[in-house]
Amino acid sequence: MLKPCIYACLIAVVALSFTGLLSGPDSHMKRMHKLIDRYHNGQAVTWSPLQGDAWLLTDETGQALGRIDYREVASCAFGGCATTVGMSLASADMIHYMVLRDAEGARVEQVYVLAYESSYGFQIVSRSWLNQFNGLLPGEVEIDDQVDGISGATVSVKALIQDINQLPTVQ
Amino acid sequence: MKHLLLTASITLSASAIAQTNTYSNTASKILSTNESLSLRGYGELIYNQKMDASTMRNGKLDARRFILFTGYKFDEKTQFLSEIEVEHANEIYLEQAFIQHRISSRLNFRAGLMLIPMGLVNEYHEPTTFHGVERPNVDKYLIPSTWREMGVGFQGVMPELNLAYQAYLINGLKSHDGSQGLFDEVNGVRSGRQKAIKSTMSSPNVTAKVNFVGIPHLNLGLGLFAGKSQSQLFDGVGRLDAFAATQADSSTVGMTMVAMDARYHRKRFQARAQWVHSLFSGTEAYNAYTGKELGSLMTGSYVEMAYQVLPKSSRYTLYPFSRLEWYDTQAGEGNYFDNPSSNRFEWTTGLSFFLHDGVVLKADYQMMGSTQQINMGLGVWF
Repeated sequence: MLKPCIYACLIAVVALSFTGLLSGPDSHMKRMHKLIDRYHNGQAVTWSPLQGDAWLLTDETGQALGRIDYREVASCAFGGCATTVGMSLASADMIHYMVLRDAEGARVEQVYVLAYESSYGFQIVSRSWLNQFNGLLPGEVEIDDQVDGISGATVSVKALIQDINQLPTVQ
Repeated sequence: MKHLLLTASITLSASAIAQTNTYSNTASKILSTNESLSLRGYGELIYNQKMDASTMRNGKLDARRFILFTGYKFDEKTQFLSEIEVEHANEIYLEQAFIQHRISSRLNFRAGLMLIPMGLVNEYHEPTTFHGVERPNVDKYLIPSTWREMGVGFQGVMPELNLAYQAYLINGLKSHDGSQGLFDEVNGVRSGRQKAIKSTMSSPNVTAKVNFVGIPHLNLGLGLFAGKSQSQLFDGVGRLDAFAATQADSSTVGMTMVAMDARYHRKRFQARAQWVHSLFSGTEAYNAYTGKELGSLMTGSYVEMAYQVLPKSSRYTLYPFSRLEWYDTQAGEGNYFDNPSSNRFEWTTGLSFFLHDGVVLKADYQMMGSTQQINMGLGVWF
C-alpha cells in the first residue's frame, strides 16, 4: 500500500513542478523586501536606488536607516571543487545574497543568502555563521580571525568573504 | 533584477576587472565568454605497508583512483554532470552521470546515476575533504562508498531554514546475482553495489537526506535509505510459479538504513562523528537459502578530531588527526553463527599536510585488530 502512494506522490510532484505552479516568480526582490520589513519590524521603509544593485533605506522622516547591496558571487561549478582558479564563470553556480549595512553604509548589519545554487558548500547559508559578519567593515574581514572556516565549504566561504570585502564603500 | 544587474555590470565592470578576482562576481561573469563546459578532476595515489612481526609483508603502491569530471551548463537552469573514474589504473567506472534542472531557487529536479546521500564520505569523497589516507571503514562496509545508483528525485537548499535536502527514488543494492548471495557478515553490503553496470532492479528503493546548519559551528546530517534489496532470481519466474517466487524472495532482504553525521569546525579545530544503523528483515530466509550468516543488524560509528597547527602566516596547513571506529557487520537477532571478525575496533592517527586547498599529502598509522598498517597518500582535487 505504501509503495503505490510513494509512486503516486512522486509522479504528482514531478508533474506539478514542471507546470511552474510550485516555483512561482523566482524573485529575489520580493524576498529582500520581506527580509528588510522583518528587520525593521514592519516599519515603513523607502528604497531609493543607488548606483549598481544597491538601495538607500530611509524612514518616513527621510532619516537614513541603512544601505542594501544585492550581490552574486561564483562558488564552484556543479559537482564541487577545491579551487576556482581557471574555472569559467559561465559554468559556475552562484551565491545570491544581500548585505544590509548601517545608516552610514559602512558596517555590515546583516548578511542574507537569498539563494544557493550549488549543492556543495551550502553550509554558508547558516544564520549563525552569517551573523559573524555583523558589525564588520567590508575590506577588513579576515577568515579565521573574524569569520570561521567551514569544513566542506572552503570555496564558498572564501568567495563570500572576498566579495563582501569588495563591497563598494560610500563616498 | 535582470536589467539592474546589467546596469550594475556596466558600472562595476571597470573595478571588477582591475582587481584580480579569484572569486568573480556577476559583473565579470556577464563580460566573460560563454564557456559552459567545466572540466575538473580529483585523484589519489596510495602506499600501504602492512606491519607484521612474524611474516614479511610487501608494500602496495596503488593509483587508487583518478577521476575526470565534466559538467555542462546548458542554461541557467539545466546542468549535466558526469564523473569518469579509473580505479587501480586499469578499471573504468562511471561514478556519476545526471542532469539537474532548477524548478525554483529551492527545488531542483535530478535524474540519472547519482550518489546515495548517506553519511559523510559517500557524497564528499574527494581526498582533500577527509583526513586519513584510507576512507573510514564505516564508510566502506556499512555505507559502501562510493555508492551510486540510477534514480530520480529532488534536491534543494532552503537558506531561511538553515537546511539542504535531497530525496530520490532509486535502485538498490543487489543481494543475489543469480548464482550466489552477495551480502555477508564481514564485508557487509559492499559487494551488493551495482555501479550501474547493467544493474538489475526487482524493487525500487527510496533515499533521503537532510542537512541542518542552524546550530553554531555544527553541520548535522540525517540520511535514510529504505527498501528491499535487488535479486536476479526474479527475472523469468512464471507468475504462477509460487515455489520459484518464494525462492527469489528468500534471496532478498529488507533494508532500513539510518545514518547520522555531525561536523564541527571552530577556528583551528575540526571534529566529525558518524553513526550508521542498518536494520535487515528476512535474513533468516536469506541465510537458509544462500548459506550466508547475516544478522538483523549492522551498526557502527566513528569519531575524528583534527587541529590545524601551523601559524596563519604560513602558506601551508597541517592537521594532526585521530580517528576511532567501532562497527559490527553481524549483530542483532538471527539464525547465524557468530563470526568474531565481524566486530571491529580500529584506530587511525596521522597527518594531513595541505600544500594548497586542493593538494594534500597524507600519512597515518592504523591499528585494526591484529593488523597494523602504515599508509601514505597523495590527493588532489581541482
